[in-house]
Amino acid sequence: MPGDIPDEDIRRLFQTSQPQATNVDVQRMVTHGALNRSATRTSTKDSQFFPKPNRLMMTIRAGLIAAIAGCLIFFVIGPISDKGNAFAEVQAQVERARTVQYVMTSYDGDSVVPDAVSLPLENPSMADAITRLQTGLDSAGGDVAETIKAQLDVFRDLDKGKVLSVQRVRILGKHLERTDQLFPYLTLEYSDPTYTVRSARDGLMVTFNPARKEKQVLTQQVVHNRKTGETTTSEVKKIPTTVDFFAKFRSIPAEATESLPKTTIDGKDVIGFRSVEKHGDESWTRTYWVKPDSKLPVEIVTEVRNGNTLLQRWIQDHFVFDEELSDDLFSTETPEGWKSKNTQLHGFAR
Amino acid sequence: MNEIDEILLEKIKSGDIEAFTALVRAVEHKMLCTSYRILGQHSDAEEVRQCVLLKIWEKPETLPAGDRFWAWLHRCVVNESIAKLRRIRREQERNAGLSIRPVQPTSGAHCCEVDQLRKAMDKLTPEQRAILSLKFDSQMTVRQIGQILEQPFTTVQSKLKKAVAELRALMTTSDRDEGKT
Repeated sequence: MPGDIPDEDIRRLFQTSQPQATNVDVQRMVTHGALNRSATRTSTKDSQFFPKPNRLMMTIRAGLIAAIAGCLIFFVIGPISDKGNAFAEVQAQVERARTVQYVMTSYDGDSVVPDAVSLPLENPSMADAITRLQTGLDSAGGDVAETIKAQLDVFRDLDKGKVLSVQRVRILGKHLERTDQLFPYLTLEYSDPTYTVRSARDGLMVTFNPARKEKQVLTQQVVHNRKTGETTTSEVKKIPTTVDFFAKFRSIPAEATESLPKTTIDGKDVIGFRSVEKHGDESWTRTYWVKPDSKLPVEIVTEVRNGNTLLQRWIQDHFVFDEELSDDLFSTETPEGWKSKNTQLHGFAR
Repeated sequence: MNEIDEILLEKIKSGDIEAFTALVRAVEHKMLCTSYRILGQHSDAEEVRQCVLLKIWEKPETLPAGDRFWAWLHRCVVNESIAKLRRIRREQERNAGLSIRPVQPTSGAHCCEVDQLRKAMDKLTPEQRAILSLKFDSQMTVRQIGQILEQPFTTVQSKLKKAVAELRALMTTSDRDEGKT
């Protein structure tokens, strides 16, 4: 298609490249959706990308409130800043851990999605998971029961209607990570629970779908450069690096963290640290709540904001450190009778 | 919006599943197209479509009446898709810039052109993608697009012109680049 492309050609190209038409299963959607009415949002905003004038007033008002609050904190409570060593000690303790387990819950922000409808508990696999957990809880005792209770607590958050995803993450050594997608971005058609095993040492990333008996191996990476518009495709190379959890922890400059006043989580005392990073217009605030004796994290909250608007929040909690984890959990072999196929990894250049 | 549409909406508000199904059949493909152009992934676009349709079914009392309904519906698709795109990008940034995004397969004689279009669309802003999809997939007029985006006619007209020019340039460049290899 050399030279200028006429409108008619663009129209034809759009018409011939439309996605395959798929009919919505209305009956199924409505049946499942009806169970979820209590979990839907009450917001009726429908145009945050194309703002209306009253939004400006709200923004100014919110800004004023934030400024007054900031002044109060500064003058009344005083700046709390014992930088450096205390957080460095936490980093050192985390670095010593041989195994780590936690649950990562991703929440939607407070005004990103207009009137979004979440699709949580009606999903058959979620309902199954909860039933299985409840059954397991009835027969379990001790630590196992505690773990199951913690997981059920996470699922109960789904009732709030703001959870986007829930993942259980298990890390062995510094190189193996398994992520079980307990509550993925759901449609009723794409609702299989999956898990992904990453081996940083072998440069492997493999996703398993037990319901479909399918294994997907990442073989190529496609990097889009937003500034230049270029796209480069390359084979996935072996990258000798640690898993993301440790890398993130190490990358926080200890001296850039701020100490927070003591508080309690689940009735237990914790101490806190906060770091803030800027990514363009967005500010990423990470808050670490840590046990004072072991200096290991109890909860990590990551919030992304643009001005006063909360865009997204991730909470890592239910941490367990140094519990024995079987190598089998991190196997990347193809189980017997499963299909294996290759996939591409898409991402954006920094 | 004609009288039949008004009746259909009234029936949906009263919980008539057949009326809702008729509405779904009338709009499902256009919704999918718009969302797909913005997101570039079929499964993501289906998720957005389902969210918006569920919103109609679950909160019929919030549906705008009269002519405003159709603009509102398409606006929801555009906004929901852009919000989802931002969430996906944030997730990717959180995961050190990379996460699995399966690629849509292209096949047939015009797969090269389709691939060029997809790559060129990827380089446009989400708003530009939305405008182009509403224009060329849904065959809407500039005035209708303006109602959907709540923007003046002249603004949309100039944005459309710019988006088409950029798309042309990107596709022509891509054509030349492929000719070199």
